[in-house]
Amino acid sequence: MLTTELNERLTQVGPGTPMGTLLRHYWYPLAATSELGPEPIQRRLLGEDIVLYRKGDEIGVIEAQCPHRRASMRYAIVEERGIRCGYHGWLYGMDGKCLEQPAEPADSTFKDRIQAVTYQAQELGGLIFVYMGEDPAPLLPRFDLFVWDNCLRDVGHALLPMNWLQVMENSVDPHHVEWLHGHYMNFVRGISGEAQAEVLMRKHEKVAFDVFDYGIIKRRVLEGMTEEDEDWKVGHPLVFPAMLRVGGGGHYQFQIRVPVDDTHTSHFWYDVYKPDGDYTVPPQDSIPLFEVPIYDEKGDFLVDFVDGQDVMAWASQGAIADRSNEHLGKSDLGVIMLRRLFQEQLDKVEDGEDPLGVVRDESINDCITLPQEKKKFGTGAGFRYEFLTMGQCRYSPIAQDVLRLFEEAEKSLPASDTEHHDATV
Amino acid sequence: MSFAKEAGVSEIPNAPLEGEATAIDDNVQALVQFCPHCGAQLDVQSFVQEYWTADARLFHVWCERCRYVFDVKPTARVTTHEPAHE
Ligand code: FES
Ligand SMILES: [Fe+2]
Ligand SMILES: [Zn+2]
Repeated sequence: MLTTELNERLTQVGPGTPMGTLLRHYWYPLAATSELGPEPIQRRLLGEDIVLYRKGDEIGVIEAQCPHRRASMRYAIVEERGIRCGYHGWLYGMDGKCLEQPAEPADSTFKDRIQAVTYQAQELGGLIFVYMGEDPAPLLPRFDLFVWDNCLRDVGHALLPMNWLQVMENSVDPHHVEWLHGHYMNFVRGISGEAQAEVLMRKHEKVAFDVFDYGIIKRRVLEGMTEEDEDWKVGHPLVFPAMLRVGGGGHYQFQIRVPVDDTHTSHFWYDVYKPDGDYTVPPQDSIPLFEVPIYDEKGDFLVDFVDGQDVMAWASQGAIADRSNEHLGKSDLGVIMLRRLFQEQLDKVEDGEDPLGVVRDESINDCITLPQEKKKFGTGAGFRYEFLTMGQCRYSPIAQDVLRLFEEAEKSLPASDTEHHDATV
Repeated sequence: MSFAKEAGVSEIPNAPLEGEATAIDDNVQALVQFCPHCGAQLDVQSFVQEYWTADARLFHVWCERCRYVFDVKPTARVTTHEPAHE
């Protein structure tokens, strides 16, 4: 149980709120590169509506409502000098300065007093990231999965109806895996006679959480395994404040939980398929983006796959989970630790310091490698198999190419290095 | 004690006794109001989080002023083991 007051402090992300100010120290992906063509697109980030547009090699970000009479800049003209509102033609430069007001008298200086709110954007790894905080902006962290080559990528997406914090709390809650993705999965799949999860069901004996430079590393010992196994020795991180790194057996994933407003989260599953072994993958023309369905035709949550189960759990906690009415036990210590970490970082920001994981040093930003176990759950390939067939990847338009890549890579490895799994992806 | 009823727990040896129930149960923060290390008031900028291990009610606390982290365990009855004797 937390007080209502503290729950509000930890979950409100709008401008001027303590958490909104902390979260404005980081970059967030708002769209896939492929989504932004010649027409502007509209998004909401941290409670603010904004419009993104592409002007040559640059991406502009401007407040969504035109400062004139509040028409939407989503329906604006992109031109040489910036973006021109479709309603009365006011033109704004990329810095938000009003450059023209065509209907005003020719000698008017009114435009000099109009300034639209603008933000910075950058592209990396097939995503468009936006920064909404104060200048100078920190670097956009070049995490390994965004910069690796010789791999395949796809991006799943869903707009979710809940606060981002309860999604992040799920990433420091290892016990849910064996229940939600093991026992509950098999209950649901048993009813419809679908294949059962085995690896995901394995029982947790011990879990631990360590704060490091970019967030919290999660470790686990499953029944029959020891601290010598990668699940404990290496683990995988929650990347502060809004990402999870997960995967195994040559499948790597970021789950990016973009706080849209207090009650919505834009969720990206950023998948990288990079098996061990000898093979060459030509660069992809563009990274395929696909929607991950979360509801069935009756409007119930789709719960026969891993990510649908997670979404059900997060959403059913409520738009903003009422933490004044919960009952935490010892197995929730990861969640408690994450909340405390947020509270400590709020304090740092109030003292004018950079919070955890803000990158300003160019010399470390070529490629930031994060820890992630390969031989996950004691069996890299077995975990990958269940994660690919029973996870959101099943909706990927390149699911078959991914299968072929893993088959090809496996052939190049000595037999002793491959872990065979009966079923195929 | 309202929390015990809510939690469906009938006997909680370490919790305040039935007759002692006060407004504290409606306000977690009020049960641990001051930092045991520096004495600062634990307001919304500090962190007071209730959790349970078995029948013990604990409060995980981080003090915003001195930055200490500790667990507070309210104890209604102190029990000890029977000393070994010949
Ligand atoms: S058992 Fe954890 S939410 Fe129900
Ligand atoms: Fe999950
Ligand atoms: Zn203190």
